[in-house]
Order: sequence, then structure tokens, then C-alpha cells
Amino acid sequence: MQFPNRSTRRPSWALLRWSAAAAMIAVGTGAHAADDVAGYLTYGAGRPVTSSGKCVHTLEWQPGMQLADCEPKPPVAAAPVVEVVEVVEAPKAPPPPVVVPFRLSLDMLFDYDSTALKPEGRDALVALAEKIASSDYQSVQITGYADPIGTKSYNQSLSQRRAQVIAAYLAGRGIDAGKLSAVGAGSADAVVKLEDCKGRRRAALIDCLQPDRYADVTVTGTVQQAATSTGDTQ
Amino acid sequence: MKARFIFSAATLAVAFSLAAHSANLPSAQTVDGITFLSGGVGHEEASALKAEAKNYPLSLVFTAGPRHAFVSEVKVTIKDKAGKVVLDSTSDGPIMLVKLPAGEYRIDAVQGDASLQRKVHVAAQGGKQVAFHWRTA
Repeated sequence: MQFPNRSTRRPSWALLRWSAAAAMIAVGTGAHAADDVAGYLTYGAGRPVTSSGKCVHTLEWQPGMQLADCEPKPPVAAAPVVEVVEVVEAPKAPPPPVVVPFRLSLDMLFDYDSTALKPEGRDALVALAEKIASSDYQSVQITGYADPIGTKSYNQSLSQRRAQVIAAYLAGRGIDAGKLSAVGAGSADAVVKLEDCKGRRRAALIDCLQPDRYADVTVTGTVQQAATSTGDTQ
Repeated sequence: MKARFIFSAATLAVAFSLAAHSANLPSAQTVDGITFLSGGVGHEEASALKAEAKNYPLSLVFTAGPRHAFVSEVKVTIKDKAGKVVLDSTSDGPIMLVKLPAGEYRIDAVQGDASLQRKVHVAAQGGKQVAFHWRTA
């Protein structure tokens, strides 16, 4: 039995009710009565009022509140609380889509004016397919480009055909065909123009225009690291 | 996984070398009783079509510019002697092969907004080759 000393201020029931009412009003504003600690009736300065050895709760009190040694301590409460904080922060909006561009030299994939993949071109596409497959890809867009030798319409067809060959090969290496698209951009936006290679003929001209023969592979997904990682998947 | 890949790559390589020619040939289609095929983009397909031309009574080749460079996407309309359209298609490349009954035909080829016309006689025997050349590419 721990009755407070008679000489100290013992709260009457009337006072206790008042404190509870004040606490109730205070809940709405997030504050509490000046003398009280949230959830507990006190003598001030954080000293709890006890009755039959137990701290007197106000209406604010909720499980989990603590003052001095009022409540029995939970056995292993501390660690999970920290994790809860992390979980609360994680599931905000879904992460924005990540766009990972790859640029392939078409000279590495195809011989001149060819639509057949060279062996080293297949190796390069196998590696690319593995990178894409290890990512959470939503779409894989392939755009082929051509050098300005020849007619616009032919170069359009050639760049498109090559993009389709690349797409078909990636599909054969496990990339979802439904997420693959292939277009040809022809030679209209060539980086190196014919006039930049003036005076060159045949092989020298073809060499000079090498930067124009490329394909862009744009992988859109949600996990950047997987798509860009170079780690092998064996 | 790796072993299976090497096996399938080897199988593919053998299959490709055996069927290289027909694999490079675009598929033929038949519309209103006329069978045709077109393409020739990339030297592999162009060679395959040139070799296949002997099996077709009519072959069309489309070029442009001073170097006679191949053109693609040519709109082709073929009418018979009575003016009836027997073929209306767009070539997927610089070469188009058409199986036509022997007779007189008028061919319209449109590249961009430039149109060329030819009157041709298609014989029952022997492939007829017709070249369409636009001066500007």
C-alpha cells in the first residue's frame, strides 16, 4: 500500500475529474494539461499519482505510453519499433520508370549492306539480352539508323530490317516479344554527312560514314541497377 | 544452360548454311490469283531474289539517281490489256517478282510523287525483266 503522504497534495475525485476533462479537451490540440504527462495524472514534474500501487491514467492514455515505471516493460519491444519506421517510409508512390539506353554499332552486328548477324554481333546481342533479362523491363525499343549512301527509301528499309533482325534475335534469347518494338529511322539524321567525307570512294567512304550505322536500344523498366549491371548471370 | 546454348548455336549455324538461300527469300503472297513477292533489302535477300527470278515470268527492279541505287517502297499497279487492275501493291524493296499469265500489261510504278509507266509483253516462257529508273533519288 503506497498512499501518498497526507501532508502532500492529494487530489480529490473532483480534481481528478477536472484533470481528465482537461486532458480530453487537450487531446484535440495535441497538448496536455501543464501539470500532467500525456496519459498520466501527476503531481507535477512527472511524478505519477498512484492508486493501489498503479499509476492513474487519464483519458488520453493508450497502450504503449510510459511514465517512470508505471507500466510493466515489454520484453523485446525496442527493435521492431525501428523497423516499423523504415516500412512506413518505403511504400510511397511507385518508383518512376527508369530508361536505360544502349547504343550498338551496326558494323559490329552486320557486314556492309547485310541483314545477317555476324557471329560477333550475336555474341554482343546475347550479352545485351542477359542484361535486359536481368532487369525489370517494361519495354525494349530498337531504332536502327543507316548511313546516307544510297536512296532514302532503301536506307529506311535497311535500317528497319536490321532493327527487326535485332529484335527477333533478342526475342530468341528470352526477351518478351510483346515488349519489343523495332523501327527504322533511315539516314535522314545521319551524324556524318556525305559532304563530310568528300573525295572518298568506296571503302574509304564507307569507313568515313561508320558512325552513321548504329542502333539505339532503349530499355524502360523499374530497376536501374539490374539493367545497367555488368555482373554475369551464370 | 551454357552447354545448351552452344548446342543450339551449332544447330542454328548448320541449319543456316543448309537453308541460306531459301531463308533469305521473302515469302510470296497471292492476291486475286496473282502470286508475287518483293524485297531485296540487304545483299543476301537481293541475291536470293535475283536467283529466284527465273521462276517468275516478270521481275521488276527499281533504282534511282546517277549511281542507279536501289529504291524501296515503290507503289506498283499492273493492269491487263482490258485495263483491269491485276496487281496493286507496294514493293518491300528494290525487286519485285510477279507470276502473270502471258499477255500485254501496263505497269505503273510510283516512288514518292514520281510515277513511271511501262508497257510490257509477258511471254509464257522466259522471265521478262523490267527496270524502272528515276533520275533523282
